[in-house]
Amino acid sequence: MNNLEAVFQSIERAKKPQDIFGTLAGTTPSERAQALRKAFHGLVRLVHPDHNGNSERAKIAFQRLIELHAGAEGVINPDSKSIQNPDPAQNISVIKTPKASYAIQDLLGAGDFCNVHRAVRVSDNQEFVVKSLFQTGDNDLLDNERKVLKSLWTQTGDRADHFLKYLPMFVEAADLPDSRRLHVLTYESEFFPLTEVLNAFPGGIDPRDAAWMGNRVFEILSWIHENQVVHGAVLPCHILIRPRDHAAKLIGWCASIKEFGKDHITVMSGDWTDYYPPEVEQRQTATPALDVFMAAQCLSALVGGRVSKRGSFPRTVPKRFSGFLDACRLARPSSRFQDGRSAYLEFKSLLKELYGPPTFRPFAMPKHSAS
Amino acid sequence: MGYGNWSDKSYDYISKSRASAPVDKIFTNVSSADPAMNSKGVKLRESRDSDDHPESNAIAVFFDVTGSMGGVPELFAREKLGGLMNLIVSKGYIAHPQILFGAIGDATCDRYPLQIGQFESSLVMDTWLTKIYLEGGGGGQVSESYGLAHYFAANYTAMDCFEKRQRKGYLFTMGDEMPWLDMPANELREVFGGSKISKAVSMKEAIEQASRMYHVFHIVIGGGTRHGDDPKILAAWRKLLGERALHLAEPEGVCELIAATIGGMEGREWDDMAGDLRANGTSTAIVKAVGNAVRSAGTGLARIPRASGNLPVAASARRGIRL
Repeated sequence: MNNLEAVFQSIERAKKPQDIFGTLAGTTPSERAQALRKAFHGLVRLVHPDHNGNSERAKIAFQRLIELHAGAEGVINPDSKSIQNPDPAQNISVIKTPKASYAIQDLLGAGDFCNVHRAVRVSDNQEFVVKSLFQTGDNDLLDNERKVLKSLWTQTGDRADHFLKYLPMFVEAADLPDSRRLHVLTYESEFFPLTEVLNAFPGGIDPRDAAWMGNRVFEILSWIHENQVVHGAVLPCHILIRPRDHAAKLIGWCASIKEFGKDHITVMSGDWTDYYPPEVEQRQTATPALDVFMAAQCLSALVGGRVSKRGSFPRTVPKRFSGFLDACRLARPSSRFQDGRSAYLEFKSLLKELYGPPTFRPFAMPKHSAS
Repeated sequence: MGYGNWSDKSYDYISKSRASAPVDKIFTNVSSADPAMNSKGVKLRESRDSDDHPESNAIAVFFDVTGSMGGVPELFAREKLGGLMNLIVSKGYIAHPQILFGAIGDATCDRYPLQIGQFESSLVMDTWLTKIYLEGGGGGQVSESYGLAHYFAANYTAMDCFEKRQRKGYLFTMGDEMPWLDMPANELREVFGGSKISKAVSMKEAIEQASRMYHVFHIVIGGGTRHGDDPKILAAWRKLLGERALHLAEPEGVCELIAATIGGMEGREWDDMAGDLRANGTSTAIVKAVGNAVRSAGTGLARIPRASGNLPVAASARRGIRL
């Protein structure tokens, strides 16, 4: 029996990740993850269908290998990543929809209503996000997200081309065997949520660094408001940034309103209740000023200000900067900037007055916390 | 309730013998509602699993039995029920459907504005269907008390599919008129009996409540009926149900539309279902009308496919707040 045949057979016979990857060397999770990565890549080179004349056997073995790898990642890092289930053998997850199979990888985030996993499409190794609800009773939230994202993605023109890169794209929806709905969305690497920035800099960041983040958020809001959409959950966990090119994304569209003017926001994040303006709990009709309020809450937190109290900022924050944020956070919606565009224009001119013409200011996370 | 097996053959026999029978021979209650179907004093209608049907799935179908619409249950009883069951079960849309039939009238002027059977897996469902009293009343207001069905479903039903498997049931109402938008407390007390009902319920609230346990659909029946093709009627329903308000231009296709709606929700593509319908002997005109209705539903007929695989999670992880 040659080496390749032995590899195929061991993958075909493997019942759990350990059967194929063994006991991984290393004492820390990162050492063991590295050992796993090495072993996995070695095996991929051997069994990948491209290297085996695209044979059925290779396709099956390759998919199984990906499952085992996902399971092994769960074993290595049982606390934060990919594992909610105490039995790692149960956690080998490949989600198969009529369109594609996705090997579930690490947990990117646990939201209020759903888990968000990174996933790899088995056919071409492309990365995606799989967002799965905790319970079927919330399926309507994903239906809402899908409706709003689809309507935004049907917008055309230069502005749409520019702004759509700030949004995730809906790929497909499916129901798990227990009827919990999931969404597959596009994934881009290097982005991480503002929550990580808040965690890494408990005292806040330099307002000049917060400037571009704020700009992006108000820009995105200005475009969605033009399209009659209110996001309804502009929270640190829903704003993703990529410092390398000052890119950002607004995710988490479950609470959003497709055509504002009649409806109120019907869901709130339990972890971030203090970020919401008073009209949300009072079930008043949602307006774009609601998003402006929440965006300003995020920015206030970023620069070290207090979220629940206006006027409470570190000395490093210029008065006019904090004054602007407080003006966005007035209790009455009609007293705030009325939409993303007016807030964006004001913020931009304020930055220019405070710091001069915009320049690219590199922003780096502390080494140990960047993801 | 809800035991026994559906038998295609025995239904075939019954349905053949009915082909030429007069209406009052098919429907056993010709002058008043059957006491077993009376909504007054109803406690609970249950859809439960059994050995034969370990994964039951509740489906409630409410007919409009006012004058303009009385022909639809008749059509079901005469020929269509077999086709519905055949499609749903044999094409695998749902393995173990349990169907409850009911009838809706006008609470403002009918003697029996709501009649309700039991959830059944077997031929017994046909008995409930034929027990419906075709009151043929209804007022001249172009409104019926459709919301009674939603109120009933939300408050007086229990089902294993939802309780054990978090799978929603299906609730279909149909008719050619506007819904009354409010149900006063005294009217609800009159229909359901008991003195506990103390406040009025709006149609919107009733639908919201029913939607927690059911996928709620309404079929606006056009073509030859009095009002169903009036765009105002569909618009009123769209306001309540969005794209889950379906318009059917061919009254004879109700049964097929119910099957196709369920099929769509269970992940079947319309093209495949059209093939199933044709194979089942459905006429081209009806297939077309059903196709239009299904397509008009757009995203409302979610057509969310099934995925295999496992993403374990503790429901206790949920921290979000519904307002």
